[in-house]
Amino acid sequence: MNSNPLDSLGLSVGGFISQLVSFGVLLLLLRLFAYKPIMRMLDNRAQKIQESLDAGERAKQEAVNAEKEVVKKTEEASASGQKIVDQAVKAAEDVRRRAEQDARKQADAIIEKARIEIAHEKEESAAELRREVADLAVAVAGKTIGRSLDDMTQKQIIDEALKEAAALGKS
Amino acid sequence: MAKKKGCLGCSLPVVILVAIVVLVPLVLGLLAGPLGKTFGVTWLPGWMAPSLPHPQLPAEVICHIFGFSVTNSMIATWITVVVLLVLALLITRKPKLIPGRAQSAAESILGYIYNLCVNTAGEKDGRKFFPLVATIFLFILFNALLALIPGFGSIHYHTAEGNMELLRAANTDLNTPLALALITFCTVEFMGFKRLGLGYLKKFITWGDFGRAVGRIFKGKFDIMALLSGFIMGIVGLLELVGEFIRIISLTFRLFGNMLAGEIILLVIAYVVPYYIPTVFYGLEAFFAVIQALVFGVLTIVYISLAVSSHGSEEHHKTA
Repeated sequence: MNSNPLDSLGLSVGGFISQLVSFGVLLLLLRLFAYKPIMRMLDNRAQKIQESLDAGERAKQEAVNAEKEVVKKTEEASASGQKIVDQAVKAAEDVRRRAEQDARKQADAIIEKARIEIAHEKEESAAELRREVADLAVAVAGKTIGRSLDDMTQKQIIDEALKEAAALGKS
Repeated sequence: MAKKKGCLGCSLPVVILVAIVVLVPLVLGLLAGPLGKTFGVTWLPGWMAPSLPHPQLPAEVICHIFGFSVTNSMIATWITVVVLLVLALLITRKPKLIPGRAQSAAESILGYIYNLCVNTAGEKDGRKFFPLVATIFLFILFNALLALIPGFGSIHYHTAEGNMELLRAANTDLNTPLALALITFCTVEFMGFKRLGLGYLKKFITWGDFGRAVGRIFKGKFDIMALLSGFIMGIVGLLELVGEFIRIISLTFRLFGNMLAGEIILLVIAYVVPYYIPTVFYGLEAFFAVIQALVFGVLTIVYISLAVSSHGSEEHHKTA
């Protein structure tokens, strides 16, 4: 058996080929049944994780954008609210001023009217007074001269006196 | 911890019990073994003493099928192949995106080897040669680990030529490491020629500088330094060529030697100190199994990456 020195080491063509074939078969089958599915799975998972991370990043970005949008909208709303308030204040101011002006105008008109009325009244009372005074004067004069003047004459005299008085008043 | 009666936190009877359980088999085993016999201890029963191991280099022929000699290491190899395939099928039967424990373990082992390949040989080549490297790793590892299962070497088989072990770790049969080493060697050389064509031979035939220096002598310019360095370059190429073939031997005998030595150490330790101590060596052997499997795989991918890139790096080296 030990004719060949390699035999004593255990080397043999049959054993060598057998191990070669065993390994080859194992390589082939493992490649088919283990490495391919597992590598595919690992790649899939890596891809999935990458996608999830991307989606997460996107969602985060969107949230940030939405927040910015909200802040912007709030600021806009606040600004427009401020504007509305300002307008309202201005309008109120206008209304107040106009009302004041109206009131003042009205008051002026009333005062003016009252003055005119008063002046009119004064004039009327003055005329009345003159008439009364004239009547009184005529009556007194009638009494004094002892005869009563008929109404016609009396009126004539009064008118004359009044004309004179008026002329006096005018001059 | 407060000081109590007894020691090591146990009461005295417990300590004594533990000591008996640990020490008695250890001492009795030692006495019943060869050491005890040397010192004249013969009163212990014969069954306590382990039998003298007689390891031998060639794998033993178990039977003949159609004139083909089936050795015990072949049977072990087939078992390894079947075990690996069954494991692979079990794990990849329903691969899930969120892996279970088994799938996770398989993925992390293969992922580790895959990263190793890609880091060594680059993305494309790493992916291409990952199956070879992973198979070498798993084959060597499982061959070695299966041999550590208790009972693996103790099943005996009766043949016409005598009583022999039915199973023998395939790595300890020289044919297996040699087959693996030749597969690695052939792959490396094939890839070298495929990638670089005949330019691959430039790594080994490096007499160009020497030839040019000799040519210059005929033109009347005798430059001893150029001649010498050209000659050295030629020798380096020759060494490179020899080294290429020596890889077969180094790969083969590294694995063979480590695995056989481990096996023999286990047998000898079990023979000298049958209890407790061999456990330590079993752990050590499991560790060596992983290391040897990894070394073989790593060397394979390193050799391949060297072969496919040697030309370019040499050119680069020259211009630098």
